[in-house]
Amino acid sequence: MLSAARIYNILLVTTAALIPVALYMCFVYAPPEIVMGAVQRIFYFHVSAAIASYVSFALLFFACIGLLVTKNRVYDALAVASVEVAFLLTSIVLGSGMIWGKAAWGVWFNAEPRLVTFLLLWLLLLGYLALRKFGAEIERSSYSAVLGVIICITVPLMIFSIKLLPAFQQLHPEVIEKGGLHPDMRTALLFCIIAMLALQGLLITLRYRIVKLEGITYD
Amino acid sequence: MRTIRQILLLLKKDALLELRQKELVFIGIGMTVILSAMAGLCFKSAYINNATMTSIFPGMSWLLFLFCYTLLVTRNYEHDLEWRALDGLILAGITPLAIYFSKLIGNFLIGIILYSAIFMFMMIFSSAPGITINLDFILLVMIVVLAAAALSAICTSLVQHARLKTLLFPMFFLPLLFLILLIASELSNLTLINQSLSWNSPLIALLICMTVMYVLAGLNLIDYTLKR
Repeated sequence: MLSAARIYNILLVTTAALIPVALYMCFVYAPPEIVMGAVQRIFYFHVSAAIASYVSFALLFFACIGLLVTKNRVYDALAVASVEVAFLLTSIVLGSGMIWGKAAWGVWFNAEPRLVTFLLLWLLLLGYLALRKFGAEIERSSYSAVLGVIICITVPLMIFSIKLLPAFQQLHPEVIEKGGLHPDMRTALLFCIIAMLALQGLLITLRYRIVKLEGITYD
Repeated sequence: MRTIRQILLLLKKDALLELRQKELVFIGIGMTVILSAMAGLCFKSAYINNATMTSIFPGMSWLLFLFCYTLLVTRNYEHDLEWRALDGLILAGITPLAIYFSKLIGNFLIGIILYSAIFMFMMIFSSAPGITINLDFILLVMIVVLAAAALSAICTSLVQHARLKTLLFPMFFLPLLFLILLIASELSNLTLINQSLSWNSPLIALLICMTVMYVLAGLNLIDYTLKR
């Protein structure tokens, strides 16, 4: 079993190698989009951050269940690390989405299913962090794990169901699902996703190691 | 059978406490009247006609319910923590399951009474025409309030020992309830105004699914929040 330090070192080298390549792919290799031009390149950061945030939620769920079942503090440290990185990634998705929305729709925020979904995810993560910081000292990790499980079971329903609500019109482009992406753009997107996942792993590992050293998981 | 007896015992305890101190009654009625009056009167202007008032009525009623309900249920475990009564209950053999169900049923009853009061006061202050209550709407309210009760019964146990519980609890409870609120608002519009609610709708299925999910989550997770 690899130690956290070794995983960190591997991810550091991998991320350091992937990020310049991903930046080259999205700014130089990928062709400009016909309608939106250079603004469209924010798409590569936006989509890759969104996918990475979903992975963080999955990690959070796994860590919370692991903590509740085994009472092993390792899972608590992993939960804390996953939530903080998920919060960062969700903030990136919201911020980049709003910038892109302003350029595309003329408004910073629209009542659109995916934007509203990510806003709710951001608020839920903020609530988790608030419980973590301001909750009772006793049983903090158990309470946080319970909230983490409730958040993670709500997330898929939220993603699925907001599209059903007629008040939220689908304005989000669905080029990937409808196969309308240029092959070079698809390659650039793939590199960005892999680089973002590597960066996510690096940040989670780093934060995990800090949490373990601080010993803040002990109630 | 033993669990049912424990649930009824806890419900009786909470009801007697509330009848003795009347905290929830005073705060509930007070906030209901204040918020309903403010909402009804703030939206009365020359630019908002009766038809608009009617169309925003369902959504506004659920929004007010959300705020008042969050205020009231934050105090779920307040009396149980006095003199370590909760520890006493658990040591006496009361199961966490019984405690969860008693809180769920209690919150459900509070929610039903609260929404009824909000609906009544909003009808008085907003005078929105064309709102007709039917059986579909009553069933819808019961399902939504049950979902809110299930979620609040487990979420309030997470902040029972926190110093900032009144500020902390809404921070994660409101976003969790947001989706249920949206669905409730949408379905209330259909049933109150258009009288065209179809029980085959995917939104109803989703609402029932979320309610069941939160009840099951509460049943399985309450052990981890009440064990000392």
